[in-house]
Amino acid sequence: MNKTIIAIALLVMVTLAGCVEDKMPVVNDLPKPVVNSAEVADYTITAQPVDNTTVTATTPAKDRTWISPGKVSIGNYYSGATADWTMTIHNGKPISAQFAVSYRKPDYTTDGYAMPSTSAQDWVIIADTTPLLKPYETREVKVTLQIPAKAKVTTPKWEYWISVIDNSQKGNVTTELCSRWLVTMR
Amino acid sequence: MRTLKLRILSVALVLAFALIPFGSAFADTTADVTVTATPTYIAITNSVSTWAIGTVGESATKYWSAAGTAPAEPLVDGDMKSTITNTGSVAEDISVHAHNFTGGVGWTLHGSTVGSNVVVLSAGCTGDANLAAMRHLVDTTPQSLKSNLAAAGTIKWCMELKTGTFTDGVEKSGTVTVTAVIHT
Repeated sequence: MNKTIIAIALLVMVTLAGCVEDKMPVVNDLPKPVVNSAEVADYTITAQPVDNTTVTATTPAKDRTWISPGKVSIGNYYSGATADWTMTIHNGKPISAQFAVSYRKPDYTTDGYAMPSTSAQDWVIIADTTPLLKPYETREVKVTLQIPAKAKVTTPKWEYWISVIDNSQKGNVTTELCSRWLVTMR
Repeated sequence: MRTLKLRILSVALVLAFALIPFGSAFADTTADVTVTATPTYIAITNSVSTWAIGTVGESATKYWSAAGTAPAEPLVDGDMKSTITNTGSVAEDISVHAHNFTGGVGWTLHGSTVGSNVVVLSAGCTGDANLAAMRHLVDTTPQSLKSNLAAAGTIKWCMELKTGTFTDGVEKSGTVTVTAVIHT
């Protein structure tokens, strides 16, 4: 009888402990979430103007070149994770235009955020760095932050910019549009 | 004996239940990476996109202004050459940067003093107290032209080029870039 009770007790312990073990993360095997718009609670799909859905901010006129969004915040990030967002670029010209989309060191940073390390340019992947947009076309370009698992990021909060330049601009005074990307490490 | 059995059973149950919330606490550390963005549009226009300086001599000063001459001090709208308009949906910070001139031996941009193949290129805007307050452009280094320019807001601006001495007569060219980014 005693043996039976002890056996049952041990069985309960082992079973429950086994369940707990399944929930405990192994440090070297953390999940690598690929975050996209569908998983982001704060983002409303109505903000995307590309499919003519209602927008919550005033969309610039059709004949204005613009980019959106102006700022992207990445939170709880860690080396080895992947985070991406789709930037939207609109060609406001009546002619086709080749754009240059590139990683850019910020001119200055948002309060509380540090400049990126020199390696950061290798961590940012832009799906199409030279999109050719037709007249008044709006195009989405995926931008991904992917820091290797072994890379050490010493600053808990840092910033980088994505630059968009219309290379079809004439003259020697040109314009550049930039999007701020704010990264907060786990 | 019965007491011993009860003790063993109690200890086992306590241990088992104690481990459950412990596991949950570990699970919290695996929270997903979050990516958020507010629907905003960044856009600007710059009304004049060309500065054809033409032939320029040594130790000369050229202006990219409404009249092509030195603007009055303090700088006012009427003397400015170009208008930057924030055509986006949010307030923007406007900065300007340039690169060293290319062609032949090139011209190096210097922040204050001209020299042999060294020039000073400056940008100013309405409200600057005087020409000395214009921002000197050094290779690739940005200078703020206007912070927190409201949506639909405008800023009028001009430029000044001071030359030094030359060691060649090859045509030079350079680009000035106006950058817009969301104001935070």
